[in-house]
Amino acid sequence: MTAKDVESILWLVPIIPLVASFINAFISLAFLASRKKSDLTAGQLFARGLTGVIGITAIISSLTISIILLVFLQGSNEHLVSVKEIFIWIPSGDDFQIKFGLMLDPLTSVMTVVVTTISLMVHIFSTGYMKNEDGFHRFYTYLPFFTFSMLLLVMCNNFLWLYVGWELVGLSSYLLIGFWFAKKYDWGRMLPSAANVKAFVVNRIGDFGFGLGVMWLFVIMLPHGEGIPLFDRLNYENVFKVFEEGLVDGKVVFLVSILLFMGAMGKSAQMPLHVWLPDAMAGPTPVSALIHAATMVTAGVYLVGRINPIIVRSEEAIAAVAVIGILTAFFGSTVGTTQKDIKAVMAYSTVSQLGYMFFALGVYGWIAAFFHLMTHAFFKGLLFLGCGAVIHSNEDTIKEMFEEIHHNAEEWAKKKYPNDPEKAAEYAFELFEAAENAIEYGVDPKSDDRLLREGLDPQDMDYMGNYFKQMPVVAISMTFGAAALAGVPLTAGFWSKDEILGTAALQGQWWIYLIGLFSALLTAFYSFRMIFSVFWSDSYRLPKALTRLAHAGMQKKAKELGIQYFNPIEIIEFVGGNADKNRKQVKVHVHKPGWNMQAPLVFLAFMSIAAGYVGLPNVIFGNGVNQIEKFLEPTFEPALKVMESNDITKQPDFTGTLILLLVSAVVSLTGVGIAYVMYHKNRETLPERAMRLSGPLYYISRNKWYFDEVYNLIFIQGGMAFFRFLWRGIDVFIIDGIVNGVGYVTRFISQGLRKVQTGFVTNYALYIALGLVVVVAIFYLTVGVKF
Amino acid sequence: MFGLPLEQIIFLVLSGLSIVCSLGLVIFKDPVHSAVSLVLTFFNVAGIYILMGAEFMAALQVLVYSGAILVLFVFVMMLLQLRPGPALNPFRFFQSRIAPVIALAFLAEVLVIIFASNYYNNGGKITDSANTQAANMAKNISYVVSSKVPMTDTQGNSVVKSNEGWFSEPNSTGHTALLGKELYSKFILPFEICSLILLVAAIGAIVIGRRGLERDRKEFRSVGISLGGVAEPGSAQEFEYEKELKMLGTNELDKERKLTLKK
Amino acid sequence: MIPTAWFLILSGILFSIGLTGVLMRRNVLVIFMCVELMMNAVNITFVAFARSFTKGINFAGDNFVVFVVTVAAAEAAVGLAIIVSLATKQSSVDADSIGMLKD
Repeated sequence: MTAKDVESILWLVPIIPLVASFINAFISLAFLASRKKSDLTAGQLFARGLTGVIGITAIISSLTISIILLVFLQGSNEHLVSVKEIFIWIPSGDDFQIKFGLMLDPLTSVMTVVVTTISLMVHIFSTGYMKNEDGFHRFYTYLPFFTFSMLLLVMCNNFLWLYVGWELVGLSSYLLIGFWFAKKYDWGRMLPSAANVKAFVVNRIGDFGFGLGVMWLFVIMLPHGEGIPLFDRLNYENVFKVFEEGLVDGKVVFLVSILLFMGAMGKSAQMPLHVWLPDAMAGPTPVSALIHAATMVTAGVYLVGRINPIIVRSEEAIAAVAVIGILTAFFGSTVGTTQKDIKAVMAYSTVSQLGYMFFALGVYGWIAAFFHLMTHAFFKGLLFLGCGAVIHSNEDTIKEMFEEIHHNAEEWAKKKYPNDPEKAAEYAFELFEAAENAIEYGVDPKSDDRLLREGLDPQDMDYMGNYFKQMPVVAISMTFGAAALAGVPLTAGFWSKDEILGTAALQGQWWIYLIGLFSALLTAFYSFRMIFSVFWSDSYRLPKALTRLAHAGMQKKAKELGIQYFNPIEIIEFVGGNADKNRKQVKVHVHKPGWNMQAPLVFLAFMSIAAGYVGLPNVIFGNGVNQIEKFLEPTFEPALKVMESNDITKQPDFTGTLILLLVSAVVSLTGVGIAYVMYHKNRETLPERAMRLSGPLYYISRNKWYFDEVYNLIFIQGGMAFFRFLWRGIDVFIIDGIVNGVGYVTRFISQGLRKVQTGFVTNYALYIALGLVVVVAIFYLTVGVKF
Repeated sequence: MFGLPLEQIIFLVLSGLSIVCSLGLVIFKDPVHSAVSLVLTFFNVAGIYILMGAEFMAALQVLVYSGAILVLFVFVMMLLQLRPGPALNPFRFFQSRIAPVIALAFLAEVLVIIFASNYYNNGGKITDSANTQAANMAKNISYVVSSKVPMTDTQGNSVVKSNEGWFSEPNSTGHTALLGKELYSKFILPFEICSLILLVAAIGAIVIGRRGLERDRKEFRSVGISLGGVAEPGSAQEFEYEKELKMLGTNELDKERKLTLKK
Repeated sequence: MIPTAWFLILSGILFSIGLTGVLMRRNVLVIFMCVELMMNAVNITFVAFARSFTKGINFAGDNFVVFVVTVAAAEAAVGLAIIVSLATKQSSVDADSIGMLKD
């Protein structure tokens, strides 16, 4: 296989998912439109399934080609394959032309493999997760489109196309987060229709800086590109050449780097633009897995890695990246420890881990950052998909229980009112509806009991437990994933996280190292908090919680209806273990996910362990063991050269690295241990005591450091006040005032003047006399009378 | 007598009287008293004309003004029974207060103009010697010329033309003759037009002042309404007006008219 | 040798008095009479100026007075006719009750 062959198949990688997306769109519009799943005929159901198959096939093809390319690249001496012109986007004369080209270098290759792998896992998983969705076909239209956007982003060779891919990824995120746009209630969380707007808007703030940066690059490139068509000057190689030759002033380098980094801040949810990511969990969980764990949010990391020749020349910019990264890492980990929603924990974990990647870039750990990106994609994707499986089963369980409640309520009513079937049916329905409402909306907003106040959220970890018994595969996969997240020794996360921390220590940034270590402790804690409370605890909490809630709701409704001596136990009681038919107990089945949901989990669990072994530290295990470093080095050569010339490169030593490894191991195991004690052994008591002991820290952490509230106050309330002033003060008061005022003054004057015409002749005589006096006076004073 | 020439004393007396009488015109409540005081004023003014050597003016004044016009006024006052009507004008109070102010302002303006003029500043000398008069005349200072109209101008040329041609001019040198000479030669056109004016005025007065036949009133009713003439509410006139307003433009109106004509 | 200025002053005073009368009196006939007074004052002025030229006599002023008197007479006739017709309609000759020009 030669470079020529590679060039000819390069373009297939992004295009195949795009074509699949269009085919699915056609199928959706032609055959399925917006029908509910229950209304579909057999042929339509087949078409529906077909969309899923098409999506999966496309991604498999892309993945295969990506792997071929990766293997080729590894084996060859060339480090860059690029196709400069596939088509011309805006052919408008010789100079104003935007060419579309692709390239393949080690970084791109790694990114494409990661993106297509995770995308494939999500496609397969979604066939199970979205099985009963009305919008299944729509999902499989958007998902390959997103994959295409992301591949475009990482494979293009021009800053302009990078921006295009950036925006397309943002668009796909909008479409996918807002997938359930019709949802009207989400247990107090932000609705999908608002969350996707929030994501897009916050992204836009970052994109503003990014756009300015690209424009500035264009301006910088204008004098340096004789002979090169205008927009080709924005090709990576041309831009980097200019910077490498030192033709750009230091201040400009700093500012351009900061502007481009702003884009990364928005897309990768760094502080202070992180606020969209937790609310983006309103989308379906596979979307969260793909976009907000593995792929889109890593676009920012990719960007900073790609512009390494630019940013390495500005120490302040790199320092800024590091500071923001470590702050974000710390923030995410503190907030993740107290969240009750399982997806929220994972969201803040993502924020935190992205912070790790950025601060790795900030301490010149280029390869460490991308190594962590790769492992994080695997284990975070796994964790999200596993959460999806849990939530899916919870929702199905709750739906089944509704049906049981309805059934039992009808039976009870028939028995209680045998003579009056209408009243019986009505009462049964009312009670059932009360139970349903109780579960969704809660019973009494003023109650002390959180369950009765808020209802039963299927994503709430307080009501989950002991899922190991029902879904062992999920449990074990998730444990592996959490272990990788926590950095438990010998998992992939351990190696990658330790490399990051090691780089920080190597560069002498001890504060960053310590904060990173503390965040690692918290990370280990909250990841295993989740695992223990959901999967490995003794108490299976869902049945009791459901029963209690349904009973409270039915009791309240019975009081309203005036049913005397009502005992809710007569209708239903849910139990986790053996059920007693005589006591109307119903055993709760937790739904085990099908094979199409479990297979990706298994694969990703495997990768969570195995992926770490491409990045073992050279120092300890021998030279050349670190495959990924060897592979990625050519991309970062410009930066490494600069680092050497500035004497920043440091060589790790054996003992130091070993000590750091051991410290990391100890820290992560400590975190796991604390979680074990708190959530496995003493789940009923210790967490509450800890909450009370920590006092205000708990609330700060629980309320996400009040970021949303502050933003609301400053920008929304402040903005509204300003706009209200503009409206009332300027538009209404001044402009309307002037316009109305002219009319008012005219009317006023004319009404005054109207009184002159009294109709009485004697008055007119007076006016004549008055005029006479005035005219004579004026005449004498101006002209003068001389006689 | 008072250190002033006789002429000036007479002038002062006459003018004082005329002013007093004109004040009486303004002040008296009864209009007949006002008319009488106006007559007295006119007589005094006639005296002043004689002082100026304008005898014809004086005669004109007495004959036309007090003899014809004021008599007309008194006749009208006699014919109409005058009663004070509804005082609709709300500005009367204001107007009564401001009218003297305006008049005084005008008077002040006039006095200012007079005192700033040459007539006052350069012609204030009071003397009665002919020499002074001749000397002042030679200096182009203006005086009111005394009673006798000089027959020669400053150069000594006679201003009265001698007889030439068949149209013999009177030899009189009185004011009337001289005025007549100019009136019928230089100002003949305005003279003729004045006669026309008088004719038009006579006809107009007759037309306007007519009590009017019923026919006229009805024919010109629409004109009268558009001129703002309204009948008193509730009167028979108004009823008739309304009735005919409805019939306007129909044939019935002519039938109505024929009926009234018969009446 | 009466100074011309005295005649002018007299004329001015008479005119002002007439003006006061026009504005102040309520009886239409008296108003008319005051107008006549004003015209008289003007006549005096005309004649005074006619007598004030040194280079010979100019009778234009006197002639003009003739016309003024003529016009005054004509005006008096027509005006009184109007007053008569107005009075017939209203049964009074109060200037304050002539409000027909009002909207």
